[in-house]
This record gives sequence, structure tokens and C-alpha cells, in this order.
Amino acid sequence: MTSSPPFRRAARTALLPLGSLAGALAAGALVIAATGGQVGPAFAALLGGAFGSSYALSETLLRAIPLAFTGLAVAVAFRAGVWNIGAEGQLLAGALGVTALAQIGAGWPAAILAPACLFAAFAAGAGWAALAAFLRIRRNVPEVIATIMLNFLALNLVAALVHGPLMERARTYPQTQELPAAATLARLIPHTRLHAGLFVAVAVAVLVGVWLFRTVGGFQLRVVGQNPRAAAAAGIPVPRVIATAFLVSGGLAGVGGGVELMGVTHVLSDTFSPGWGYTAIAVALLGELHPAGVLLAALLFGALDAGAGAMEAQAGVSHVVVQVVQGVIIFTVAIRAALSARTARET
Amino acid sequence: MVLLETRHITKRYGGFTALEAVSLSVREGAALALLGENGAGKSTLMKVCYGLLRPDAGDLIWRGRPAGFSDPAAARRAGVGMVHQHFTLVPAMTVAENLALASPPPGRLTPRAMESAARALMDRVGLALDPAARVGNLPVGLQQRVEILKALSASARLLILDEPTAVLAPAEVADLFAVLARLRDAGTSIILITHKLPEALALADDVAVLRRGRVVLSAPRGEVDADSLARAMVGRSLSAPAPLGAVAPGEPLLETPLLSPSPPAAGIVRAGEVVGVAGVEGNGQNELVETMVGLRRGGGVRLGGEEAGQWSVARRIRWGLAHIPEDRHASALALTMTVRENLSLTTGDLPARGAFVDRSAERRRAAALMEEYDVRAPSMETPVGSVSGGNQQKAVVAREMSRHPRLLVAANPTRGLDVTATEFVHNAIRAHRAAGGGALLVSSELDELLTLSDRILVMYHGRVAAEMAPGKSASDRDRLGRLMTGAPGSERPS
Repeated sequence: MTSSPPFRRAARTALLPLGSLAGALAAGALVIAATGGQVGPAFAALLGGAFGSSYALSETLLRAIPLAFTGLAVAVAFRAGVWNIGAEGQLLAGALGVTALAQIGAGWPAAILAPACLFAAFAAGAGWAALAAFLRIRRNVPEVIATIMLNFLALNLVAALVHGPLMERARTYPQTQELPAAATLARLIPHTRLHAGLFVAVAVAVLVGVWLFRTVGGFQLRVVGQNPRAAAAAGIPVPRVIATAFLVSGGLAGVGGGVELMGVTHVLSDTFSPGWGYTAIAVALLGELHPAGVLLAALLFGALDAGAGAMEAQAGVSHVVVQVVQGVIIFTVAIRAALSARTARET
Repeated sequence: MVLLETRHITKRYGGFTALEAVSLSVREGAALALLGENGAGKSTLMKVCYGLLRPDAGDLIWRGRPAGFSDPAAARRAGVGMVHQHFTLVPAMTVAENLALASPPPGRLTPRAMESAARALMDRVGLALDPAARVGNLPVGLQQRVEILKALSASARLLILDEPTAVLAPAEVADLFAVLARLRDAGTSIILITHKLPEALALADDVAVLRRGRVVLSAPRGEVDADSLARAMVGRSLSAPAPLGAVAPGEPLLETPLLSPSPPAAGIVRAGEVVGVAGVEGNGQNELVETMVGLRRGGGVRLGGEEAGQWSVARRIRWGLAHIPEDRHASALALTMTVRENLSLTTGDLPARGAFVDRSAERRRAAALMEEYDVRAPSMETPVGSVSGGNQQKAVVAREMSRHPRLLVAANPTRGLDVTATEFVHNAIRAHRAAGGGALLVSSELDELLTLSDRILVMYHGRVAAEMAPGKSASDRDRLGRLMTGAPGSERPS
């Protein structure tokens, strides 16, 4: 009864994500070369823009934060067999929750208001996911469809609000009034935008890991995700577990939106998210649905995002190349998921 | 004249040798029964013959010439047809359309063209079916004939059947064998993969036995008997099943009109009693089992004298119910999770301190169960999906019996298991009974029911149609087989 050393297992698990990254970078290099760019300088600029200075590094980390939250959200849902494609909408709901609470608690001290805003973000995201959870559990509506629809609903709800009742007092831009200082997150390093949300992200990842792999509830969630019929036959309350997964997943995505609002933008608009809730699916799958992997994958996507601007400015290579790289990563991850689903069916 | 010959075929998966220098041959117009326990290599060998797998060494000789089929299409073109254990039919389409899918008739695919092609094929093969019937509406036995017709549509000279009787009622088995015998007499060679000795002896001209990837016996039918084949398959003599010991039936554990041939009177399962439920698949056994274990609610079920129809699965488990489901992959195991995790899947079984899993206690528990129930796996951290079917089932049995349940509900608990694993499961059920536990044993294996049950209920069309006492004589088997097909004369116990 010996188990293979954890290190070897981790190395095996990491092999495929690393392979897909290498393939994606190779594809990016091909595109750069084919469009007349110089691969070496372009990648050097990309790397420099992501890690070359303390500012570059801070931007990489900054951009990884919302992806970490949404990636964790998707990972929790997928582990339970809940195909939550709605992290985008839940993220917006979380940002709305923060906006609402910041108005109510405008005079509260920061020590109370900031944590309360994080809880409001969680509650709002969870509430948004609860709609899909209700439809799935009570009405058997596939959550893929319900959550995608709720994304559009959330986006247009935000747009309507920031063009109407929630528009800033100056009535110049379609965005909300700036958050009170007590509802913002502290900057960590002077002259950078990096904020305390980084610590929240790491802490939440640790909590999610402990929950999934060290508690009875996490065990039941994974069993339901692997085989809901066997879970039901084993007496596990499947609807309750699925509802929990929905709520926690939505809540985590909501905190992602809240943290971004409180740490970076301080105002909410209908261009708030560049699609973090969708990129999250790739982040979660590339991270093998494991919290540590999700953090690493979020960091990678953050780095690509941060380096893209530098590559365009310094090497004259369009930032679109980075989207090609991200696209190839998503593609290989998707192929891999499809293949392993097939292997699972055949054995 | 030899039609197909395998010469020293070897197939390895990593360090595991699935086939070791297997040399066999099938004569033209003859039936070869390929026997062996699960994992003996039967299916691997047939996949090589049908072009689904490439051997690592050795040759496949087809009609005197080397022929390594690169894929099933090549095998079909050459004249090999295969009927898989699981049907590959489109239920919503007609018989003719399903046949046209396998080999489209020339020209436009009009219903008329497809039906006349289907009729021509049926005439040639000598199997009659209504070409316009929807496949989904046909009984399983007739669906299987559609599969056979599909396999023979490309003028196959060799028909391979993988465990074809697993889904059939006894009467349908007899029909199938009549069809196969006729095909063979008309010149088609047949390979029948099976682990049931009587079937092999009934049809075969030649018999081969595989054990652990090697041919351990290959002989004409006339030179073997059931005993020698069983010894070859298992590698030892099988002890005859001991008769059930006398256990005085105790208090009623399960009472429900669903188990009674004359509702609303309740059928009862008592402590120390195994009640068998016979029936052809699809006659309501699944629904019955799901209602007993709580996956379906309602239906006047009393457990230990209490009304339990609305009890959740978890509550029934706490009361003392255990469940060995029919399909362990679908309903009992999380295949990608480890053996350790699967051994504590059942609610309440996972050792915990508060909300946290007590990992070391969980490991100790898993190790003890694997030892006691002889669950063989490279490690308790191996995904349960990559251990053999027999060991998967042992893990399920270990998990369910480790709670010392009061009532066991088992549905086809030995399906797909080899002789040794079957014996193991049967002994577990006997031990449970001897310890004063009650059991409801749903099975489509007559022998299993006849050797293990104190009483046998027969299900037909969604209800218990008859009850009989088990007996070992041929007439008992006949009677049970008749009752399963809904024959009149269902008798009450005396």
C-alpha cells in the first residue's frame, strides 16, 4: 500500500498544462513570424512587460486577481458537475452588491465597510447564481443555458442602472459615483495599482482547497460531480450539494467583481469586465480544477495580459497575438477535456 | 478448411500481458466457443480479430493469407461481422433503416429500397423480422437479431458474438441458439464468447479456454465436458455450492405489497432470509429496487415495522439498509476517485472530526476493508476505475457489508464477474444471511436465485406475478423460466 510520491503526481498533473502553454507560445511565434514580426524581440517585450520590473510584476498580479476569483468559482462548480458558465454575470452582480452597500454604509468606518462590502459581493454573486440553481434543481433547466442567459441579464441590468438611477452625480459618464474611500482596498506598493485583494484571493484559494479536499462537504461535492447517481444511492443529499456548489461558485465570482471594483476601478460601468467570467473557464480547466493550479493559471493569463501592451509598444507586434496564444491554450484545454471524457467513458 | 487463424498473437499494455502467444483457429462452417473468466483476454483477442486492436506480435491468418485488419471496416469488408454485448442500434429508426445504416443498398435511400434490401438479407440469412418495425419497440431478443443481421449484411463468413445471452430471457436464449445453429449449418463460421459453460457446450464444435491471456485448453467439443472446462477456466476444481444452512426466520425487516403476488397483502422479507426476485430484465426490477432503497419515494414500504415510504436514502442507510446496485459504474462508484474514497462513499462512513475528514482513520479503514474483502489494487490511492471489474465489485460489497446491515438489497450482484469473484459475492450474501441479516436478491441468473434464495418471487410486467420455492431439479428451472415469460399457471406457495 504505497502511494506514489506527491511530487511525482504533481509533476504528472502539470505536464499537460505546461505542454499546452508551450504549444500556444509556439503558435504565437508562428503568427508573429508570419505577419513579419520578429519573434525574439516580441517575446522579450512580452516577458519584460509581464515580469521585467516591479511595476510590470504588479500589473501581472493585478490582472490575475479577478481571474483567480472567477477561476476558483468555475473550479468549484465544475468539481460538483455544475456547468456554471455564468461567472461573468455573477461577477457583475457582486460589483452591484458592493455599489449598493457602499451607498447604504457611506458613513461607516473602513474596518467595517470594506469587509461588509466583500460579504455583500459574495451574497450578491451567490444570489445571482441561486436563480440558476433554483431552475436546475426545481425545474430541471440545464444550468449552461440558464447561466449564460443570466450573464446577458446582468450585463444589461448594469448598463441600465449606470445610464439611469446609478449614474454618477456629475451625469457625465455612464458610470457609478466613485466608491467612498472606506469601501476601497488599500494599495500595497506606492506608484502601482496592486491592492490588498491579492491577499484575499490567496486566502480564498486556500479555503477552497481545504474545503474541497479536507472536509466531508468537499468530499460529497466531488462525489456528486463524479457520479450523481452513485452519490444519491450512497445517501448523499445531491440537490443540497448542488445548491451549495452553485451558491459558493456564484459567491466567489461575485467577490471577484467586488474586489476589482474596490481595488481598481472604484466605479462600475457596463464595460467593467473584459470577460473575466468567460476566461475563467479556461483558467479553471488549465488549473486542473485545483485551487493551486487555478492561481498559477490566473497568473499566466494575467502575465499575458500585462505583457501584451509592452509587446505592442516596444516590438510593434499587435496585442492580438496574445489573444491567439490564449485561444490556443483554451483550445488545447478543451481538446484535453473532451479526450479525458472519452477515455472515462471507454474504461 | 481453416477460415481464421491466430498465430502466436501477443498483446501487452505496459507491463501487463493481455494475450500471450495465443494460437487458435476457426474452421469454415464451424462454431468455436471461446471461454474464460473476465479479464482472461477474450475480448482483447476478438478486438484483434475485428481490427479494433493491433497485436504487438503474431499474425492473423484469414483464409490462408496473413491479414492484419487495420480497422473494423477492413475486417467487415473481408467478411468478419461482430455482435457487441451492447447494442449499437438507433431505437427510433426502423429495422430496415438500421440495416441500411450498416450497409446502404445501392441507389437512392427510399424506404422501399431499404425495405427490399432488408427482406433480401433476411431471406438470404433465414431470419425473419418486420422491416418496418421500429427497433425501439422490439423485445431485446429481436433487437439482437437486428444486430446479427447487421453483422451479416456485408456477406460475413465469420460471426463473432460477445456474451450474446447476457440480456436474454431463457426462452430467447433457446431461439438465439437455434438461429446460430442454422447459420452455422448454412456455412457461416461462429465465434461465441461466453463465460457460461452450458452455452458453450450446446452450440460449439470446438472449444477454447483462455486464462490470463493464454490458451489453456483447445479441443473438439466431444473431448470436453463441463467439469474439465470449469477446471480450465478457473485453474482449480470448483466446489459445488453448499446448500443454505437452516436459519430460523426472524422478525420482519421489509414489508411491502410490492413484493406480494396478491396485494394489498404485504410481501415480507424476514431476518435470516434471502428472498429472490426473478424476471427478464425490464419487468420492473429496477423500479422495485429503487423504491426499496429510497431513490424513489412512496409505495407503502415498511422497514423494521415503521412506515418508511418517505424516508430518504440516508435515513434508510442509518436504519440498516445496504444496496449493491446492478450497474456498479453507473450507481455505485465514482470511477475517477480512488479506491480509498470509494470505500467511504456512503454517507456516514467517512471518518471525520467535525466537518473535517480524519484522513489517517480513513486510510486505516480502507486498508482493513481491502484486506478483509480481498480487494486487490496497486494501492488504495489507485482510481477505482482502473482496477478490474471483480475488484470494483468487491469494493462495493466491502463498503456495503462493512456496516453490518440489517437488510441487503442486491441487484444482479454478480453481473459480469468471473467464477471466482461470483463465488466471493455469493459467500458474502450467505454470511450475511447466516448472521441473521435479510436480503432481497434481484437477479436474472436462475442458478444464482436457485442456490441462494429461501423463496423466489417472479416479476412480470411490473409486478410480482408468482412465488415459488427454489429447487434444483430441471423442472424447477423450467417452471421458473416459464413464469419469467409470463406463462399462465402462476402458483401460490403452499
